Amino acid sequence: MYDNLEDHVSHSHQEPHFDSPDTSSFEKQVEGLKQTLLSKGLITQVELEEMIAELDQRTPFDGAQIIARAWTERDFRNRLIANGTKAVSELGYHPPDDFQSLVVLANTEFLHHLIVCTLCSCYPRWLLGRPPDWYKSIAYRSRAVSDPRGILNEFGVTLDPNISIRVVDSTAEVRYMVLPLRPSGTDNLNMKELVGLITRDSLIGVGLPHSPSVG
Amino acid sequence: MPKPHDLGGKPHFDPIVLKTTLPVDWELTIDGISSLLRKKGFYLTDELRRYIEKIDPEQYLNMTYYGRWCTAITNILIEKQLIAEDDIQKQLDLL
Repeated sequence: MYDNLEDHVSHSHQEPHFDSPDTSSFEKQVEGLKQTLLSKGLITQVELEEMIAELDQRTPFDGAQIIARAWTERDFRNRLIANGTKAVSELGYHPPDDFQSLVVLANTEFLHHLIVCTLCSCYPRWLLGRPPDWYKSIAYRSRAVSDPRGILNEFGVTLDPNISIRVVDSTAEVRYMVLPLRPSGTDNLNMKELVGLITRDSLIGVGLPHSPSVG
Repeated sequence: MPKPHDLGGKPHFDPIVLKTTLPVDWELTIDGISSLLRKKGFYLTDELRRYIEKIDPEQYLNMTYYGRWCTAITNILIEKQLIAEDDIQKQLDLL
C-alpha cells in the first residue's frame, strides 16, 4: 500500500533536507509568472497587493477570539460545534469560497484532537493565517497519524495516557479547528485575558492553552 | 508511479522543526497569486492540489512548499490555455 515512496522517505536522513532545498530558481519563475499574468490582464498589481495584505492580516488572534467566546457563551459554543462555518459567520469570518467549511472539534477531559493535512497543507487560513512551516513539513504530515503522542512530546506536551487522541486529516473542502479545554482558574478572566491564553498551537492540537499564571 | 504527496503514516523519523520562518517576497507573491486566481474563479483548491500531486515524485520531494505551488499554478494555467508555455520565459527576457 505504501509502495515506492518508502524508497524516498526511509532514506531521508541520508539526503540533505527535503523541506529546505534551493529556491533561487523559483524566485525568478514566480516573477515571470506574475509579469505574464499582469501583461495578459488576468490580474492587476493592485489586486495582487490587496490580496497579499488581506492574507497578511489573518492571524491566530482571529481563531482565539472565536474560542474565547465559545468558552464564555454556552449557546455560541453549541452553535460552533454544530455548524462551525455558520457560527463563525456571526462574527464576520467567512471562508474564501463556497466549497470550504469549518468543523470545530471540542476537546474533553478524555479526548484530545490533533489536526494534520497528510496530503498537503489544508488549514483554516481564514481563521489562523498562513500555516506554520512544520505543519507543511514531510515529518509532521507523515507521523501525525502514526505517532501523535510522539509528535505532542516534540511540542512539549505530554497527555495523560487515559486521554484518547483523535487525529483528523483536513481536505480542500473541510478545515478543522480545535476547541481546547478552558484552563482551570480562569473564571474571573475577561475576554481579552482569555484570548491571551489561547495559542495557535492549541487550535491545531499540538499545544494547550496557557494557564493563567503563565499567560 | 509512487505518490510522494500521500504521506500519512509513512515512516519518516526526522524530528519536527519547530522554528517557523516568515515567507520571503517571492513566496508572498505566489501565495497571493494563488488566492487571487482562485477568488477570480480561474481554478478551485482541489485543482491546485491535483496539479501539486501531478508533480514528478523526485521533483516533489526536492521542491520547497511554494516551489510546488508555482509549478502547479503554472501548469494549470498552461493546460487551461490562459497562458502559453513560453510566455514566462518571454517575460523574464524583458526584465
